[in-house]
Parts: sequence; structure tokens; C-alpha cells
Amino acid sequence: MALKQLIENCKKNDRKSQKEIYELYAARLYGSCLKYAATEEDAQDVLQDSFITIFKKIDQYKDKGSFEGWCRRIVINKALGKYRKNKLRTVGEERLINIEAEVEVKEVDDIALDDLLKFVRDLPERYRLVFSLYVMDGYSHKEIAQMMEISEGTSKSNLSRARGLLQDKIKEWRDSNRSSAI
Amino acid sequence: MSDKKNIDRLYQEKFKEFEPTPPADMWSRIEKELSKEKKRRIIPLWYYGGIAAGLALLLSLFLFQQDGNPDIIKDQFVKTPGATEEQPQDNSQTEVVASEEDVPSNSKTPSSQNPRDESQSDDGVANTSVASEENNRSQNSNNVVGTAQVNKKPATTKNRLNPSAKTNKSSTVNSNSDYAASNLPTTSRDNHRETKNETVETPVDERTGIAATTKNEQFKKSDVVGNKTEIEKENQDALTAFNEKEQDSLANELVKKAVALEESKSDSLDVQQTNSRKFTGSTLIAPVYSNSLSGSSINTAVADNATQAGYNLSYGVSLAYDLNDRWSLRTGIHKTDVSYNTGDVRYASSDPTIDGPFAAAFDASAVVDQSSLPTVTSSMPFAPDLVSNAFLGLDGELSQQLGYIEVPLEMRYKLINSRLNLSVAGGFSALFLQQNQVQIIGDNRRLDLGSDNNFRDFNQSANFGLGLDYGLTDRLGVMLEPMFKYQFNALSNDPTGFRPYTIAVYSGLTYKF
Repeated sequence: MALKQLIENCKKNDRKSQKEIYELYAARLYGSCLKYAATEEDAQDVLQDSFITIFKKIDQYKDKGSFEGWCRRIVINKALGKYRKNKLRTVGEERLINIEAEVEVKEVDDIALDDLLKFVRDLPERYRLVFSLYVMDGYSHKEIAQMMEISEGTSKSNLSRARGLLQDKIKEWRDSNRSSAI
Repeated sequence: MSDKKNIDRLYQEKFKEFEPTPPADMWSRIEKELSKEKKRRIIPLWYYGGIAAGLALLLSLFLFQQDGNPDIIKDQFVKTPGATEEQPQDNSQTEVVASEEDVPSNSKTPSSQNPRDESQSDDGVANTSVASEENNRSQNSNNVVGTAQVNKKPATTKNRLNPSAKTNKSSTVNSNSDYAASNLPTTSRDNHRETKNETVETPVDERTGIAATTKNEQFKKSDVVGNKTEIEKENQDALTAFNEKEQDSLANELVKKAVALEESKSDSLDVQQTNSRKFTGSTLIAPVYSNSLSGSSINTAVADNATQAGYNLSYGVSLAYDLNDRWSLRTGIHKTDVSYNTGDVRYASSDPTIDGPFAAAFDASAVVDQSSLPTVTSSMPFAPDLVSNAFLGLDGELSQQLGYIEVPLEMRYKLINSRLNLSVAGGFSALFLQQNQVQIIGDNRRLDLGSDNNFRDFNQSANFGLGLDYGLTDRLGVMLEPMFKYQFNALSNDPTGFRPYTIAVYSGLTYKF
């Protein structure tokens, strides 16, 4: 069935079509959830809430962009919603460091995706969100600043801190793996 | 350097095809939530509705119990110094009224008896005379004599149609149109506001569509940094063909910025849409409990008698206009029936020897308190087989049944403004008397005594209440409103300080447009 038809059916609250949409997008969207959430449980909650919102507000989708993009936007909003609730929590000291410097790591083809994901999840909440928004979903600092209600400078410094922390983790991982390999 | 990679690109590449399988039970969890959402829309309504109904019931019971205990009422009013002082004066007033009513051509409405009036009142006259004729027949066959002032019939019937009452009516119409006129500027202003809202909304609608393309651009940007043609391809594959087209047309950075700004408002989008509906129409039906705080609608002789609440029905339609998020103005038209029952009375003829039919009009002066009569007569039951000369009156409960056309004008303020709204309401009602009937009920018999001219054709009430309404959908909802209405000017001659009120619990369907 064409996607357009499925969406139309979902607008009429057709459960079968809703399930088809779920099966089409669940995996891709769950990937996003895992990138933004601190734990797997949180990611599942975000995915569940997102699909409920997608089906409840599907009549607001106006065929003007990709449906997947629209769904992903909802996922990101849900993930950020959790962040907004916890906004009072501080992220630690914020200092501006080498903002534009590229952080380089050694070839890490051997490093597993699960480990990379774990490193992101272990970041402080705001670092994680800024890193995922900027690096993985391609938002600009300006957009991130508005979405997260922080300044652009904070977004930039958070990104740098996130990169630095990730670099450390990867290095740590490599060191321990090398030592265990020997 | 070839073995070194930017950490960003490492993540981008690793995660470009990151499609983990969600837990197996995820769909069933979502499905469960989706069906729960539907149920949830109904459950709280009954929950809150039940509480409101319970409160209304408790309040009614409380008031009912108070009224059901005549001693308490008596004490309350005897203790008021004004009331005791007025007592003798009140009596004299009643006597004056009584004597006035004995005069065939009613002095209160000297020029009222023109033919046009009569034609307009055909229904009322026909009804009462038929009813009274039937009663008369039965009474005659039983040789029972009642109030029997035959010549009073035409005079009092016409009295109902006195021109002064009509003037009242037309003045109400005028005041209503005044309301309408004063509403006009507000309405147009709000319409203006509404259009403004809509223009604001348009870009918001568009932005969801643009969102996806924004991302595409972002990916493009990252491609410039490195050799990311793969990512772009993947990304575009995931998007529809439609999207590809848009990618070109929406390269504009400014648009993107505007879009990003609007993003943050996404949650308020549907709220804005529902707010643009300013009018709410509703159907209403309510059980009406009517009673009086004090006094009697009959005369001073029975002012302290036990009264029993009347239970009737009110139904109609209403139209509300939202002035802003919190305030709304509401009007409508209801048919409201009320009744007042006074127990332990005797309806006795002032001239028992006349062997004629009962008067078509109710004679308030003929009502006396049973306990004030000598024990011999008060113990005498209303028996149809009594001989005419021995009959001294009808014992029982006097029931005055009135039907009003009610036009309320109320302001409402929302205390809780969400899917479930809780509001307080206050305002006035114009009441136009349509139906007026007095009956005496005793010994399992019901006798029609005509209409009571003492009730005004037009009066007002002050209204207070609570309102609960719950939106089933964006447009359709249900509501529940316990209202207390205190009536002014119910009687044209009110020596006993008759203070009627009603408690009604309105329920109905609402529709926003």
C-alpha cells in the first residue's frame, strides 16, 4: 500500500494501517531514540510516546515534507521534552574551549557501534543532546540554541566538551583493548 | 593522517544505518496506550460529573430538609423584628386585595378589556374554562359549592392580559436588543483578533513540511566538510521524491531560521486551532427543584405552612461567545417549569351558599390555614358526597404550577481551562410567564382552581452556578451545570415576602463553531 494511502487511513484511526506505519519506521526512529536518551528504558519511553503523538496528530501532517522527517521531528521533540523537564539540573562547569578545533581519533573501525552508543549515552544530558543534534541530525548551533533554550555559545562549548569526552572514552577503550590483546 | 578520522564523521558513518529493533512488545504497548487514550476521554467526565451531581444532590437535600421542617422556618422569621412589625399591616393589605378582587371590573386594570386582548388570550381562557367546567360539573352533581363568584370569571381572566404586563414584555425586548447592540463592537473586535490568529498560524503549518528539508540541507553542509556522498544518498533514499524537489527550492537560509523559530511552538499548534472557535451552542435539559426561601405565594394566612418542593423540568438551547480564554458570555432560551406546594390548607368559598361552579380564576383570599379553623371543620375530609350547604371547603395541598420562557444572560469565568473546563457563572434571566395553574390536591383528588393572577407575567432572576464541560472532540463536548436562581418580582402583590428560588442541574451537549 502506498505510504500516502497508509497515512490517510491512519487519519481515520485505522489500527491496521497504524501498525504498518509502525513497522515501517519503528527501527529507524528507535535509532534516534537511543541516540538521545540516557538509557534504553528512556529510549523505549520516547519511542512509545512518539508513536502515540504521531498517530494522534497525524492529521496535522500536511504532505509538505517527508513523513519520516516529520516523525523524526516528533521523536526529537519528545526527547528534548524530557530534557526541558530536567532543565534545572546543571551540566557542570561550562567553559569555552577550542571551539572549532577538530578532535581527531585514530582509526577505530574495530570499535563496536554499541560501544560508541554507550559513550554517547554516558555523556551528561545536555552534551549528549547537543552532540546528537549537531553531529547526527545536522542541526546548526543556532537551531540547537533555540530548541534547547540555551545560547549559541553554550551549544558550541557543549559540543566541544562532548567531543572531548568522547575522544577520551574512545582512547580509554582502545588502550584497554590493546592491553587485553597483548 | 589517513588513519585518523574526525570524531563527528566516525559517528555519522557508524550510525548512518543504525536501525535497531525495538522491543517486541513495543507495538502492543503503543496499541494499548492508543485505545486507553480513547477511553480516557470518557472516564474523567463521569468521574467529575458524578462529583458535581453528588454535590448538587447534597445541596438539594440540605435545602429540602430545611424547608421540610416548618418549625425552623417559623423561628427564623418570627425572630426577625421587621417581619413581626409588619404582620398586622400585611393582614390589612391582604384584605384590601381580597376586596379588590371581589369587584367584578378589576380596578388594577381599568382599560384592559379590549377585544384584541381577548383574542390573544384565547388559549389560556379556553384551557382554564374547560378545566373549570369539568370540575364544575362534577362539583355540581355532588352538590358541592366552592368559591362560586361567577361574575368574577371574565374580569379576572382578562386581568391576566393587562396592558401593563405587555409593556413590560416589550421593554424586555428592548433591553435585550440593547445587549445585542453593546455586544456588536466586542464581536467585531474578536473577529479581528481571530483573523490575526489565523495569519500567525499559517507559517506554523508550513514549517512541519519544511522541517525535513532543513535536515537535508544540513546533511549537504556536512558533505562539504568531508566526502559524504553516501550519507546524502542514504538520506535522500529515506525521503520521498517530493522531498528531493523541495530541497532545491528551499535552500534559503532565512526560511530555515524562521522555521527553527516556529519549531519551538509546535506543541501549542492545536491549542491555537481550537481557540479560534469562539461560539458554543448547546442543548440543555435539567431537573428543576423549586421552593421559596420565605413567605408564601398565596397569602399571609398560610405563610408559615409547610411547603413542599416542586420537581419539574427545564429544557432549551443556549449560545455562548468566548470573549477571551477565560471569559465568555452566554444567552439562550429555556422552557422552565416551577411549582410551589403549600400543605395543610383549606380552600373555602367566601360565600358557600352559592350553588354555582368554581371560578375560573384562583381566589387567593379563599385559602386558609387548616389549623386556624375550628377542630370540627378541620377534621372534615374533602368528600364528594357531602351535601352542598355542609361543605366548607377543600382540604389538602395547594399546588401552584407555573411555566416560564426563560432568557438568561450570563457571564462565565473558567477556573480550569483544559479539556475539562471548570467555570463559575453569574447573570440574570428574564422570565416570561406562559403557564399558570393552581390546583388543590387532597384525598387523592385534584381540583383545578384556575390561574393565579398574582404571578407577574414578567419577572427576573439572579443566577449563580458552576459549570463543568468536557471536550469529547475539538468541537463536540458535554456539560453539567448546577445553577441556583433567585427570583425577583415574582408576585405583583407580595405581603409575605415570597422569595422563590430554583436549583437546576443542567446537562447537555455542546458544539463549538
